[in-house]
Amino acid sequence: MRGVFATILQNRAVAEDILKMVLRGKDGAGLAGARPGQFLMVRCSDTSDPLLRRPMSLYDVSGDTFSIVYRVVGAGTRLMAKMPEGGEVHVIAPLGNGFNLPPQSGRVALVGRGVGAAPLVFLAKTAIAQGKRVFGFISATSRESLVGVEDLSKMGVELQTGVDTDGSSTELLDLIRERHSAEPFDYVATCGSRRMLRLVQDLRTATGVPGEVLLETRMACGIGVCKGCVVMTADGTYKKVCTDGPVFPVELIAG
Amino acid sequence: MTERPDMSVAIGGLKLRNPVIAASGVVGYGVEYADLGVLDCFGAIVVKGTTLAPRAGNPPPRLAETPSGLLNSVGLENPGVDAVIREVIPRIPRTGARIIVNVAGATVDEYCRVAEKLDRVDDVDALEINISCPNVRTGGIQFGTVPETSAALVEAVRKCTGKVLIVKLTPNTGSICEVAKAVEQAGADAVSLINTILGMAIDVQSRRPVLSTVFGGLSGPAVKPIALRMVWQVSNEVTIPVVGMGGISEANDALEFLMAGASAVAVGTALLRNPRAGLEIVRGLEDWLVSEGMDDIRAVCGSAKAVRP
Repeated sequence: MRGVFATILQNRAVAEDILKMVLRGKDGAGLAGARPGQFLMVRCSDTSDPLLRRPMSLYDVSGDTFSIVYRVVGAGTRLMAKMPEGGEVHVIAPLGNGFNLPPQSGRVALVGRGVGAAPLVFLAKTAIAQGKRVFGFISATSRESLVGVEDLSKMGVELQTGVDTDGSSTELLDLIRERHSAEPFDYVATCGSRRMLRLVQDLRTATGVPGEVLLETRMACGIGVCKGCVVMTADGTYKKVCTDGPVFPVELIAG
Repeated sequence: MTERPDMSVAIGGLKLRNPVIAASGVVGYGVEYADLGVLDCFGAIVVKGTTLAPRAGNPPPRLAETPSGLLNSVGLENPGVDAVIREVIPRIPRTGARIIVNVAGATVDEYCRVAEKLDRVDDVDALEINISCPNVRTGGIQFGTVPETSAALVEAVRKCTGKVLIVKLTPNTGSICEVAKAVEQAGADAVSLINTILGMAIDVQSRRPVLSTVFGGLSGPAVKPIALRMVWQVSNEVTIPVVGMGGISEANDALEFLMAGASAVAVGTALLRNPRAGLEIVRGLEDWLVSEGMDDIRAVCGSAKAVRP
């Protein structure tokens, strides 16, 4: 990891209240070696308000550029949304542990909701590069707020989308179960929805398919120092989302 | 003048190469920031609050961001003193920064036993006795709000260690000067202040407090004027050195605390946002001394109190 100023190559809406920011480190070093599921800490203000950086999952790493997709939810992301293209922003990256695609897995399912689909796009790209068959199940509250579906279908991900306002995603979840029982997945990754996490946990319990979840929480440092971002895990201990995660085996996390 | 100014200061018998300290709780175990290459600059590093037995800390959420501030309720999560001695202290890169361990506990006996164990560790240069943690139910702040209990605790710990003893004071008392005087009498070599200020935040959507513990400790630039005032007051009342902290983010903030009477300063929350803050403050202080034609940082200490002709 390193702290670096990055040039903002692109910062524009890709869905409702959701923007994509494409960056290039000013030291020219790129983020080679960064893995899907890792994140950046973005400094969103030059003043002390908002005080803290914002953790943002990597959406893509390509050559010397890298990108994030973020939803405008508060003061920090509002400031980020106003950052001009051509300007610069300070980031610390890459942080945390990425997804662990099992080498032998041939069929990979990615299950995401809302902006939680963003880190799954980078994972899909990696899985496809490894010759895996990737199935995407992406939901959102509206068609306009679906994230990553265009990029996923361009990559050749076999995609199912669902739209529901209450987070139930019933049809999509049923579809995942059906697909899995017809021809099982070898690995499932999820982000962005408790219901989806529970489904992946159920699949794991019922059929043993390994699953991983990327957790998103508030953080202060992002590098394991402040212990502010902990989550209680199934073994009865607190784990830091930033450095023990943000990707965890689904069986370790309370659904 | 081509020579760099003398930045060294003394905290009791402990000489620091410069007056900038990484505060407890923000350099973790000194290992994480080493990866970013920003630890080499400090005069001292304070290892996070250490208790006799491991502590799991408080349930999440433990953080709430407030205007120019941060509320936390981590609750002294730490692996216990034995693990700190065995696994943590040996891993701290030796860069010339002194190592100070922040000591916490629920009873006088617990503080004493932690101090005794650390007394036997050569790599530990000083102890910071935390009588001010607002995030644990027993001990901590319970000692630090009352002069008599503070003095009794420090007196007991003093008997357990020959290391330099810094006592970290809480602002959550009506009598911080009385507590400072009492711990000086009881044998403290220095006092550090302020620990965080008790505060809270409410999530209006859920109509619930943000922190699982309801209250937490406020730090960051928001607390700086209060901290500065207390450093000014306490340094008037004691003869032992004062380590000033509370919202220090840049060299100018550090200068204010030194001018108010601090002999050294600690940087905390600023490091979370800007890992290079320590480095920038050390350089900024040096540059300021040069620009003022001064050759010794110690001349800054308390200089705002000097009577002007």
